[in-house]
Amino acid sequence: MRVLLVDDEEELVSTLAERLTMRGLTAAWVTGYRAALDIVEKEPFDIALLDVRLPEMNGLELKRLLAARCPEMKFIFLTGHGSEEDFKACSAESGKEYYLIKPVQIEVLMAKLNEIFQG
Amino acid sequence: MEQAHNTLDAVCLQVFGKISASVSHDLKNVLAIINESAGLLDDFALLAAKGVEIPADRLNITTARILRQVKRGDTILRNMNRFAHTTDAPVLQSNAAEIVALVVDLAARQSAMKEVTFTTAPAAGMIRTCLVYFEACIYLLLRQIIEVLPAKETVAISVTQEENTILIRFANGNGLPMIADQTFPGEQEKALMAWLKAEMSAGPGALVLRLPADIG
Repeated sequence: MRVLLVDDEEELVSTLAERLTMRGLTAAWVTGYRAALDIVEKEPFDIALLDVRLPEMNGLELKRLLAARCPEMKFIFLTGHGSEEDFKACSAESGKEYYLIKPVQIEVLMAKLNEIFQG
Repeated sequence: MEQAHNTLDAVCLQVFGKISASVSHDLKNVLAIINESAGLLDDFALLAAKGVEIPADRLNITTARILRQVKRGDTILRNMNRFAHTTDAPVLQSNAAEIVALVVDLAARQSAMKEVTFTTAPAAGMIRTCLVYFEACIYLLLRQIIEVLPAKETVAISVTQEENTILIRFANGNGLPMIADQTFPGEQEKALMAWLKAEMSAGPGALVLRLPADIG
């Protein structure tokens, strides 16, 4: 399973990628939307884990751009914001079960990744 | 008069809400990084129990990350606490530059989203006014500047005192305008500025807010 992590909190996204790699996944991380659009041109990913609030472009807009480039890619949103507005908008795109609030337990995230990958 | 106070209180409540949401978002990130870092240490412990040697620098990097985030969280909470205590009395005295720097810190999430940088510098001028109205006014100005400026711009904020007036200057080295159109200041900003007896002048590359050092 190849996972792309996008979050402007570098220490979060790099640590999370390391932990997912230790669990047998191929995990890459970037901290902005431009780098996310660049990396999907070079490497294939099955799933993108997106922060909802990113600099310059929100995760929802990024999801649409990534989906247009990679139609097979699946998405999970991870947010620290947790507003009702974000929840409605993002869960309408990904399903409410794939809208996760920080901090998330690695076992929960792994279960969601496996579930969406197999689904 | 009562209606004016209701408007001002509503504006301040909105600003307080926006700042609280931003602070809670930042704290969630702090907790998430601590959570992942503690989890990584747990992963290392499990590997070590299986006889895998864990390099000491990997442990050091992870514990240093936790300590950095604890410090970051403490700074966020200290700022929020200072902001909350500016409502302790209707009128309070404080260092104007320190209040401006506090509001810049509280708006850091919004400026980071647009990659706009605000620089501040210590200055001696004291202001005696309704500090929460003053903070709300500065916050709304910062939001306006963040909204209008292109990404990655820098704004230098300086605070000076001329006799009984505090001057707060927002300057952009590229000479960019910081007011979008005639809609700013809007009703909320006008109400705050009227109470604070503040005046604003704007030109290319600079915006200056003048207000009395003592509201009387």
